[in-house]
Amino acid sequence: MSAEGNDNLVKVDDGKPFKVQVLVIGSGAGGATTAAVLAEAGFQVLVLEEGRRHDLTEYGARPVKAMPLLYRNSGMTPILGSVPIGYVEGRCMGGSTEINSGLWQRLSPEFCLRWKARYDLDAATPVELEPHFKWAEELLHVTTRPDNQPKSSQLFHKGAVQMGWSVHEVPRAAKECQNTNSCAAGCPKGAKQGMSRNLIPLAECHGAQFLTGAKVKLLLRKKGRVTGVLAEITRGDSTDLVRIDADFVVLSCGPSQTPALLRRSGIKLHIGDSFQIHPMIKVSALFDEDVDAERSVLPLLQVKEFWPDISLGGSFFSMGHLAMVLSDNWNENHRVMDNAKRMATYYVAARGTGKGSVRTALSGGMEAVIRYELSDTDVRNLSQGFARLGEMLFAAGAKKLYPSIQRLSSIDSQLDAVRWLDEPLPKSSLSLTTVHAFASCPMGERRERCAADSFGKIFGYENLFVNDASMLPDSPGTNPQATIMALARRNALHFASVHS
Amino acid sequence: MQGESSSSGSYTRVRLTLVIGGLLGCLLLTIYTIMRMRVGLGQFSGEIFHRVVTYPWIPAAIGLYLTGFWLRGMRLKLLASEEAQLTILTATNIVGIGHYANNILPFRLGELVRAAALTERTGLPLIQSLTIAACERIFDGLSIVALLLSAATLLPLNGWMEHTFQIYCLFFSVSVITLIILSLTPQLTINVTTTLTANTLPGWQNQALKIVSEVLRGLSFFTSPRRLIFILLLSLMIWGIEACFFASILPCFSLPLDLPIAAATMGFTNLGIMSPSSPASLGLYQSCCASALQVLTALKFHITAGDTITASYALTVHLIYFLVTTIWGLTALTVYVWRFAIKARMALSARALEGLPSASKIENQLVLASRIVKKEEIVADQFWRLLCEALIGSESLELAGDKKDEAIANTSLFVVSQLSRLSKILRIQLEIGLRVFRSYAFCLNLQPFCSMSLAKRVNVVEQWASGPVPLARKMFRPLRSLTLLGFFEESSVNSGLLAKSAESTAQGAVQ
Repeated sequence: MSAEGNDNLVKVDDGKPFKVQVLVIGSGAGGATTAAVLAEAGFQVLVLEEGRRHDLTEYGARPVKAMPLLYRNSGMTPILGSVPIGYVEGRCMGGSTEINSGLWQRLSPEFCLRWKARYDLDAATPVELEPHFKWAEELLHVTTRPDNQPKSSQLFHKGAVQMGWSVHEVPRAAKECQNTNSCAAGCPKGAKQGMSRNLIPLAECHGAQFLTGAKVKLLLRKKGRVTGVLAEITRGDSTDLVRIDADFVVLSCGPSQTPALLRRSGIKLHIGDSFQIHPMIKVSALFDEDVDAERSVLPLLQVKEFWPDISLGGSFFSMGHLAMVLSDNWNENHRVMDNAKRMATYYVAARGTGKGSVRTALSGGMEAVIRYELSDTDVRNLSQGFARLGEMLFAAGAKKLYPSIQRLSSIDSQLDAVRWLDEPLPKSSLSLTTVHAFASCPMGERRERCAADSFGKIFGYENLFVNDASMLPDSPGTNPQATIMALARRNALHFASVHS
Repeated sequence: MQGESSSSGSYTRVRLTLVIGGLLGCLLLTIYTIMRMRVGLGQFSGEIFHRVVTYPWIPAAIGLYLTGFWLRGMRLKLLASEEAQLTILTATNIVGIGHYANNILPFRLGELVRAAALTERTGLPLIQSLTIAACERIFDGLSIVALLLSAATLLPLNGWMEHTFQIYCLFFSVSVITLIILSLTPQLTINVTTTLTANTLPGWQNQALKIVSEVLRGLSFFTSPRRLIFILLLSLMIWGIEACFFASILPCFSLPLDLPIAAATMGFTNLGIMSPSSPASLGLYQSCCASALQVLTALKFHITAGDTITASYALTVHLIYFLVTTIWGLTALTVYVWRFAIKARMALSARALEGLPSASKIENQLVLASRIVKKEEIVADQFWRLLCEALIGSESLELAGDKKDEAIANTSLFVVSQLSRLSKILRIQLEIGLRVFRSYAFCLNLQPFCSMSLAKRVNVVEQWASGPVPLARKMFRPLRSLTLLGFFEESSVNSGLLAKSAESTAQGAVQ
């Protein structure tokens, strides 16, 4: 079948209903890993991807062009709640790995223990996960940056050292990065190892087939089994509703779409009830020297001194994004744009402890309704993180800080910043964003709080699996791609050993 | 394989037929029950109509009942919260469906329907849902008994009332203590079950253990004292409000507005109908309510309310209860059936492939239905261009006139196309918000937004976006963000800004 004319042809014998052995829905970190592992193990694998496949020439466009191309709903997927949160995820071949920064952090041993204690997650000790992390790191050429750091990173490092805090460079899946500052729009040089550069071709080598432009609308169920899916396949101007039967269905549609699809299909127990994020405040800093953040890769360092509750790091920078940070106090701050060359943007992220959920729209439509209510702990952590980031940036030589907080137009000194260690930021003034979401279908053996068992099999269904960010039992406090890929491989190998 | 497909289709078809048939059956039963009520009203209908229609507190009574109903939803949400996340609206709908089913089915079968609805909405096992429904009834009974106890301090009770009160008091106290013991000793309960079923067939033992563990899961809210206290308080509030509802009808029939009497009447009525009886407890409800009212008014005020008055009162109270729960439950049920039907219709279109007309088979013979997707043409009208210009502000960047116009036109197109990707409900909310904003702008300047000068537009946008109303600020925050992103990513703006920034660096000026 040729959807958008770019994929392998899925061949079907005339007159027979179409059935595959393993149907994977989604081609992001979880889906691509599943497809590669299962195809290598000899399974007949078909992957359905809602977005399109793009080549490098389509990558690296300015954000306004890249958003409709690569992002779900063109990046317009707000998380609702008393404080709305901007949230983006990928919707293209490779999923969010095509638009993230490729930062790579392993799951910390502490979280392995936590997940064991709280969710009774089996076979996920650091020792058991080690080979899976190693496998992914080798495939994705995960490494630290050999050459000199960009100016925005140097300043960040200087500040952290001045404060006496531990700071480290986060390894990336970006072999020979050429500083195009296009991570969020897809790497035009192919340096960043998104799934489309790496695992998808590998899966195709092993015989997996990918079908793009296919939006799965419903899982077809019968007595504890999923018999197949109904999908809408868009080609050019027409949309076809098709049915695909499968022996096994693996959901890897991401933390918002996996629970939405399950709930839409009537599978609801512990599905979409425990959605978690890392809420983030952005702060732009003005220095008295050129930073040229727009011409270099984002700052690659992170302060983990206050981890897991608070992380400080560098954020993607462009003129448009700087204006967005300043937009909360635009009247006072619009002139700051004139100094864009001397500015860089950083973030403070908290490990979310609030209550989130994913539901289907009341109208019965296909949209997922995502909600998250910040907890008091979230606000406190964000406030303290903000204060610390401020202290650090002033120590690094910043002259002024511009946070994305309404009615707090600027911070002029360390003394101004440090007050937020003791006072909570006004919740209703926060402009929050997030790119990390998970835990909407937690896995573990505790049936009273988990949707799936320790290897992602949905409770109550013998052939339905979840294998993406939604399976994480809880917020990991780090960039989740490494954890997702390691757990996805572990689950896929377990599946292969049971069903081959 | 083909057989599997067609059997799956017939399975869905059977479910759809059952669901729609069930809804139609419900409608027929509703009509039947209403007809029976009409017969029951019979001689009293004139009295009721005369009293009720002329009395202004009936809307208040309905309001009180609805408040209690909403609190019931809140309580169900809490009872299930250990394992399922329900919104209050969904929980209230489940309560409504249960009440409605009790209105049309005999023997309180509505309790089973309520548990099934909870299972359908949350995915909880049915036994667990039944346990939660049973707990609701026990908390109801306990609260009613507590209210009766308070009323009894102010009211004299006669012999049968005292006996009824004592029996129910004993029953509910023992029930709660049993539940607490069960929930606090789960392992012991499982051990006892294992021992008791040791000599039965292996399958039976597994089933028994499954049931016991699901019951224990249903009781998990007992392990949180805070939640338990909140549930108890909610139950008391629910029945306190129900007592107020009973009280608000008393003056309609020239009876004294006496809360203890209303509470006691309500209590004995609801304890009476806890036993299985006819649909909507027809007959039993009226009998319990009328006789309790008659006895209590006689004991307290030494007046005997006439049979017609007490029967009319009982019928009125029951009628309000019946109508509110029926309308709510039937509406919720219809919405759920409608949504199920949409999905089933989609699933049914996945019929066996060999039955499809050959014309629709293209390429791989997978296609079941096709439609042409109309591409929406995104247009940014004058309002959007002017709004974007105002959001950017007049001093943001000095660009040559035509370049700036082009940048703003592109920006507004970007903003409109981005907003078109929002979910339908958010788009409607935004549209309403923008209409309010335009009216606000008109009231402030006595001219339409699109006729204002840039300075005026900037001013009105600022007053709205930075004003005291949080909702207004919340609405313009993403609009401004999007506008600025679009504007500053325009290549002419971007290059102009970089040049200016370089100039500023050269001057060494730090703002």
